[in-house]
Amino acid sequence: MRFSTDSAMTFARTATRCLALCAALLFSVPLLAGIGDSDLDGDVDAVDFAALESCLDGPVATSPGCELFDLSNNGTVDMRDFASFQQNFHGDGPIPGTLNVTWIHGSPSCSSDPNPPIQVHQYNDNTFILRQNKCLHYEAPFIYVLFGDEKVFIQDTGATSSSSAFPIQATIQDIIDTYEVDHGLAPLDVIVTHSHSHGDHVAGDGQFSGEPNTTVVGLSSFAVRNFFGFTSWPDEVVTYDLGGRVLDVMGIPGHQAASVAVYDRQTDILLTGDTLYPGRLYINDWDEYQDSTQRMVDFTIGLNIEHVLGTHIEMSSTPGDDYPIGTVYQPDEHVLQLGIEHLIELNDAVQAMGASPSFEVHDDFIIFRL
Amino acid sequence: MRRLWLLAVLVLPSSLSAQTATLMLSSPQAGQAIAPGSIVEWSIEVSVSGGDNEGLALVLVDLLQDAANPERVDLTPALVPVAMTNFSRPEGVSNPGPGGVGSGYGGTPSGAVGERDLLQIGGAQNTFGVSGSGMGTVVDVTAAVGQSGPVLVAQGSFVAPTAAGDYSYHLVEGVVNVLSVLGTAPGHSTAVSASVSSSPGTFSIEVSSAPQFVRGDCNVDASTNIADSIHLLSHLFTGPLVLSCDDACDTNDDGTLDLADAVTLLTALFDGGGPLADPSDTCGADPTSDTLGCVDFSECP
Repeated sequence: MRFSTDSAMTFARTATRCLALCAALLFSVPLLAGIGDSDLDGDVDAVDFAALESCLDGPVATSPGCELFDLSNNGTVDMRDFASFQQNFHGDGPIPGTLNVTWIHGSPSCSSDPNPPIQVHQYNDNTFILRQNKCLHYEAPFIYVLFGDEKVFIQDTGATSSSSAFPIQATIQDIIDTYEVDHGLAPLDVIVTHSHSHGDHVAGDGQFSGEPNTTVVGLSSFAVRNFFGFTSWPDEVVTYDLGGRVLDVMGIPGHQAASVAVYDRQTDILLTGDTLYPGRLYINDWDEYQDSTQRMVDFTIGLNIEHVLGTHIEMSSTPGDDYPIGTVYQPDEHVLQLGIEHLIELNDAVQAMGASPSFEVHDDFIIFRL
Repeated sequence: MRRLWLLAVLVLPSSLSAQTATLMLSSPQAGQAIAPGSIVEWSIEVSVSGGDNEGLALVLVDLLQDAANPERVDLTPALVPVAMTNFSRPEGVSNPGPGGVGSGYGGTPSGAVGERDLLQIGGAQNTFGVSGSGMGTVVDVTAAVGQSGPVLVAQGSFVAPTAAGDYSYHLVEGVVNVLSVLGTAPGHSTAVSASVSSSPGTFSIEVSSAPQFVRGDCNVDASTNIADSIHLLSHLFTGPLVLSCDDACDTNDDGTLDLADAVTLLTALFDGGGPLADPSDTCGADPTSDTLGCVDFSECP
């Protein structure tokens, strides 16, 4: 984009972009600096490609108005910047990943279980899903690791505190080390968060405390609000930028007071913790839970939801059938992923119950008012 | 503690492990002594790892003159090989050419006139599923480029310096993206960075002011055949035939002219003898020191 051209249209587009940038800076709109999101709409897509085309001048001085595409910050917009742009291009759709994985689902005899304490599944280049072995703890929670260019976001630390029995920090650190090397990144800030504060999701926190570049978010709802910058909990959706990867975070109390849902704009995955997963949905505060499911549904209007991912599997693959509490062997368990239709089904059900919550079995989850 | 990682199972899609790419710089004149002002040809090839990606998406590399070279010359932009057309404007994405016109796929000259290097040789496929207005007009991605052997990325030449001495030319700052997920337009493909190595990433030449000739072309008629043996035998035994380039007739490069040179040439021509000592394929200087000379070899510069 050049001011030196005579095209009024070009000037107008450039001015619009400048205004958008200024607005982002003034009002703290998450700016995906360094990745080529020229229109600041949260993705790198065909619109940005069209804008880049007029700025790609080669290894010569950057034209005025094109600085956003100087991803290497060397004063030029050239093919080296395009190389980064091409890597960051996600289009209008989500970055795909795979859930074609057989989760380690425990053992009929845990004393001779050959499986490791932690299973690591790479969903895509920068998204990992870990699961704790049911033989180590029957809750077998899932743990999410999302990489940005500046931060790595960890949700939950598992149900076991012992680093020898359950080396969650060492396992994730190895993933981080490999990722940093493969992507030529400086050490990333490690952010340890929680889907909520129940013990089966925070037990490994102590392994992260005191580690370099690591922040462990506190467990109270106050600490969660403070860290993410909520000013109106839970009626607010805040953003958290990992560096080229923006997460939307919303409070969803009901199962537990500090429960949050996280929407990853890059993969279109919605993380729902224990509020929605293929299992027994234990509800402590009914009114808040009703509000939270409604807010999640409202949030997803107009969005693509690739997967709804919770933190346990308790259902079997037989509709409406769950494994008993405490089971350590689930040979025919439900898949981890749910869809937007399940969130809508849940919300419809809890809204229909009104002020009279009841135990209700659905094909893929069970509403369980405590 | 860190080795406890072994206790965890890593389930990786095969397409997501670390991808690698190798850039190769070569020249038919590499390692040879060449005449000042003669043509130096060069080419760059690339290969990418297989099984963990869908092939080449982008390749970029600079071709630089070594700082210790006695003299710098202009490295002129490379030609675009046919197989790389969709990596170059307008079909693909590349820097613009000089003055913003055409394609800069062959590299952007950089530096003072007369001593320019070439920056950012190469370009990219359009992996976005949508066409640009002046570049990236081909939206169908070609898969597996570089996976079944080295692919010629660029081929060029320059005029050798005039000052005698040793010269080196290097590939630096190589960047390669590979396709990790192959899409079909209007869907997009996903590209990731590959770990790049250059091997070889350098070639060297010697610019020599010594006379240039082709060994074996004893009669200096631009071909090496039986007539050259007859020419040498005539000189040796029937005289007084004057040779214009003794070095060209010293086919065994032993520093003397005798019957053995005729035998060596005949053996090479008709009895499966090995190639003659350099320079036998192209013009070059005598790499060995001897008392023979080369007064006139009109076929070489």
